[in-house]
Amino acid sequence: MSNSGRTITESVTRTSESTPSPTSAKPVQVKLVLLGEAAVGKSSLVLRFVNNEFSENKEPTIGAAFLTQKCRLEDNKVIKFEIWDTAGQERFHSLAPMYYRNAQAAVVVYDVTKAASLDKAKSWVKELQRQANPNIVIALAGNKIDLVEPQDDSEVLSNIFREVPTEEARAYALEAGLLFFETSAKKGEGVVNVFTEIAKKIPVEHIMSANRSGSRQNILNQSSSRIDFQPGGLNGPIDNCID
Amino acid sequence: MNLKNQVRYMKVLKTFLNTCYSEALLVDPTKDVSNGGLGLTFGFPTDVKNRDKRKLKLWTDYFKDNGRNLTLVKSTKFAKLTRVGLPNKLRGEIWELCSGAMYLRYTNNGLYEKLHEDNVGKVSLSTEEIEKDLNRSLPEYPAYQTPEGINTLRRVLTAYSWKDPELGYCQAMNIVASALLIYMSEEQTFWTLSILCDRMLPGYYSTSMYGAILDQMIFEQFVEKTMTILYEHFKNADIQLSVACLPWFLSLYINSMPLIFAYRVLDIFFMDGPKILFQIGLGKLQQVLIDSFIALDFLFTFTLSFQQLLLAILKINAKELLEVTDDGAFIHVLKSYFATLDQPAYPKNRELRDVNKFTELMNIAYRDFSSITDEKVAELRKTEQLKVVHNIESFTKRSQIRNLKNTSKFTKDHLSIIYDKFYTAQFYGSKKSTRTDSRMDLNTFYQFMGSIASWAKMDDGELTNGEEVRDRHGRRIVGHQFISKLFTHFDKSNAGGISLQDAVIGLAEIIFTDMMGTIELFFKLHDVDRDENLSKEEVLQMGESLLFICREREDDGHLGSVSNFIRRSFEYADVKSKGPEFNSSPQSPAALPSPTSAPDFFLSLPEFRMLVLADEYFERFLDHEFASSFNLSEPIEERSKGLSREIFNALFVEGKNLAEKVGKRIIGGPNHNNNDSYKKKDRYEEKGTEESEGLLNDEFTNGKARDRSSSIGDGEDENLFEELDKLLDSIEINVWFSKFPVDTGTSANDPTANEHDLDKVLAGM
Repeated sequence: MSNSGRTITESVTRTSESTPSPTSAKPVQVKLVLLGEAAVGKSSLVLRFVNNEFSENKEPTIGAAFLTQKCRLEDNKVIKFEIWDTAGQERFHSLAPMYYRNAQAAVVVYDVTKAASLDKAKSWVKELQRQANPNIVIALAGNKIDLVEPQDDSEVLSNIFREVPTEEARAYALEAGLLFFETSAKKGEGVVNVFTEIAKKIPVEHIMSANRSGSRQNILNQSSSRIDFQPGGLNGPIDNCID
Repeated sequence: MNLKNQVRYMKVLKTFLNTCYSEALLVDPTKDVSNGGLGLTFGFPTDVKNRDKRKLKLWTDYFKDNGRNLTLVKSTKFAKLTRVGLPNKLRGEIWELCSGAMYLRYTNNGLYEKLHEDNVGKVSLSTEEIEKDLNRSLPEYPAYQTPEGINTLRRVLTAYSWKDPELGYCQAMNIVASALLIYMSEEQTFWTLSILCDRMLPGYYSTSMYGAILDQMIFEQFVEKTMTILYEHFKNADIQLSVACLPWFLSLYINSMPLIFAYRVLDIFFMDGPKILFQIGLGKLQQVLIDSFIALDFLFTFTLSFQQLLLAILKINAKELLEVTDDGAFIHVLKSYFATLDQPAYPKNRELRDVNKFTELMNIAYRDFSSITDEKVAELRKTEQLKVVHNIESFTKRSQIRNLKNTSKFTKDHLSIIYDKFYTAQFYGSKKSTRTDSRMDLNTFYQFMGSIASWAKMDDGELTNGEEVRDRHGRRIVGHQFISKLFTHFDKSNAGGISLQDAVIGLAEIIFTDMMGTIELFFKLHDVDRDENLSKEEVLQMGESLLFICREREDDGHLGSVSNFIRRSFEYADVKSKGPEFNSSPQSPAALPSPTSAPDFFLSLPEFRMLVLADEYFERFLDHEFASSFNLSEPIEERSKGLSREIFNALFVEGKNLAEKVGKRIIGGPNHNNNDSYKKKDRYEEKGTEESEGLLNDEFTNGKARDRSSSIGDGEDENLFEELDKLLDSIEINVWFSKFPVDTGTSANDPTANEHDLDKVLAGM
């Protein structure tokens, strides 16, 4: 859980964007997508990260939501996360490629109290590894650990139990080459860490040099053109989904 | 006669009218509404300038002149009244009236309650998904912080999921339903939701959401035509309109605009309803009502589609949008715009000070985009539909196949074919299916199997009759229960239905197994009571199954073989139960029933194996013919040639043990000739192929078989050899056949057949 000198600038939101950062370095834009089963807390994680807020009954995300947050690295470079928070319900799945195309990072979220949500997370990882940007940094986040932490004496013990042991998920993450975290969007535990660790792994130099040398389009996506729903559109980058 | 049919509707008319606020309004405007939304208790979201009383007065006058609820006639005045925003208490009624939901509610009296009664206590994927979202639907509205409000929402959404199990529940429906419920009763909301899902937003909430994607595509075409510069800019900056706009379409702007404006949009959106209803044609009564409803030249230019609205939004913000360079900034511009809809549109112009941005938006939508008629939208929907559906279909297919946890040894092509057949069957079976999830029920499974194995094809009509299944010539088909046995076997999780994954695993178990595996499968399928033994009844069923599977074969070889099998099984069991010297040998891996067990105890797996292998016909059948009767329209992966050594050994030991115990009694015959068996052995050595060489060398040329058998009592030597001969015969055939796969007469390998099927499915959507 080390922050090792990198800090998140306090709630830098889009509105304060025009204010130049102290170093006046041009932020490096990093597109990040959140994926995972419905109601595991994807939107809550983002909301905690971006606004440091939590609301108990967050409306389900329809299609996807978009948020941004800046993150300063120790060498004073600034990363600006452009976060696509996607809908979790299965039928929105076919829309997901629109959101993860060109993404340099992904956070795949599951709910530690629901074993099935880890299965879904695994299938997202599988899909990302096959379809998304080949250099994508993927983090696996087990959310809602507040539900399985020992409760304060004052609180009534809930009948919710952990279904995904930390070690099981960690082992899977290791095997699949993912960053691994357990988080509580409700209490704010581990949330910022997910994003800072991702920021560390992003090949910033690569993106910056590519930014200088050409249009953003050329570097962000080696693989494909836009996915749209024109005839044949969906067929584009997804063709080789089965080996 | 038509009039007569309507009599029943007239009977419920009075009660129905009591649920319409317009009735009360004319009699006594102060009277409480008996049938309204949550807003009556928990308050309506209101504008600062609440002109409800004035509006109600205007509507009362309108009703006096133009009729009300079921008999209302629309005029341009109606459209104007709607455009300024409906009064709270009337809003729900006008919505259901305009959308046509009112006619559905009237003519389907009691159906809503019945749906609840019929499905009480039932759980489905949809109900689970609904539960997740109940607390997340307009959570800031007070009613949805109370059990009353939550229950109301739950009842509406679950009722809809029972009404249309195929659609079930889609996120966004919770938001739409929760917004409607503020102005409408449960039943009103339910029928309005039905109209929305079925007619006004076709395919928006379906499992593939093709409708929403389709409209998105059409919308982009409109943008290209009407605002070319903006369109080119988006294209160059790689901004995808659908990324931002799809959520707005799906939630009918309810989540993106301030609620009061979202409701104003809905007012106008619903006004459009009858036209759509008109196109689809309902029952006679509805038709009559609608005819009168639209007879007076109601001006359609007063209607407004989502497309028009969004085009106007883009136009108003065009200047800023031309400067954005990515999706995020695009969304940001429009979000800020939505947040300021209540602010003056022309703050510097005194005369227009009262015109807020929302009013401006409406004006521009009407003024500049009137050419985007609903007819045009409908027309484009029709022409683009197939392409979109096809793209989604192939996407869904790829991702579903990719998400299979276990693909067995199937290749990509195999899986693709299984997928097609699975969903083709599901598509045609869905009307009859009672299942509410994506699993396949038994009746559909019959179809599915019929599309894969020719012996499983049966005439559709008879299937539902259960026991009495007849073939095309009216002959009763014995043994069709075999397929239902397979169904149970495939359904590993006892879900009462089969998922694609189940089908893949189940088929793999049949196709990628060897003879021993197939024998075991048949044994298990028929060992209904799972006691590891086939009873008399179970053996008979086995016979029937075999007859069933072989029923369309040209030769009648199976007839004799089946009757032989049954006869021999009975004889064998007879002997077994009587035999005084019958004892389980300690070396025997098979737990044979003790002599004292019930006479009904028949065959263990090894015994069954032996008996069935004694017959060439079955032996061939079980080794590969059954597996290759499953036609995935392409050459099935080459089966492992010959028998592995272990299998042979196992067979040998089993055979020997059995022979030791009962040899003479079963097969003992006068024509036995020792020399024959040696000849056969010689033949093996000559044939000695790469597969069989090893095992033959070990077991026979080294004389081990002979050695082992000689340890058995002298008198039984001959019988043993005869038994072994039989076993050897079967192996020989095995080796031979696995080299030259036999065409089992399954349907021709036609790769286009599947495509054709898929096309049919797509065309039907």
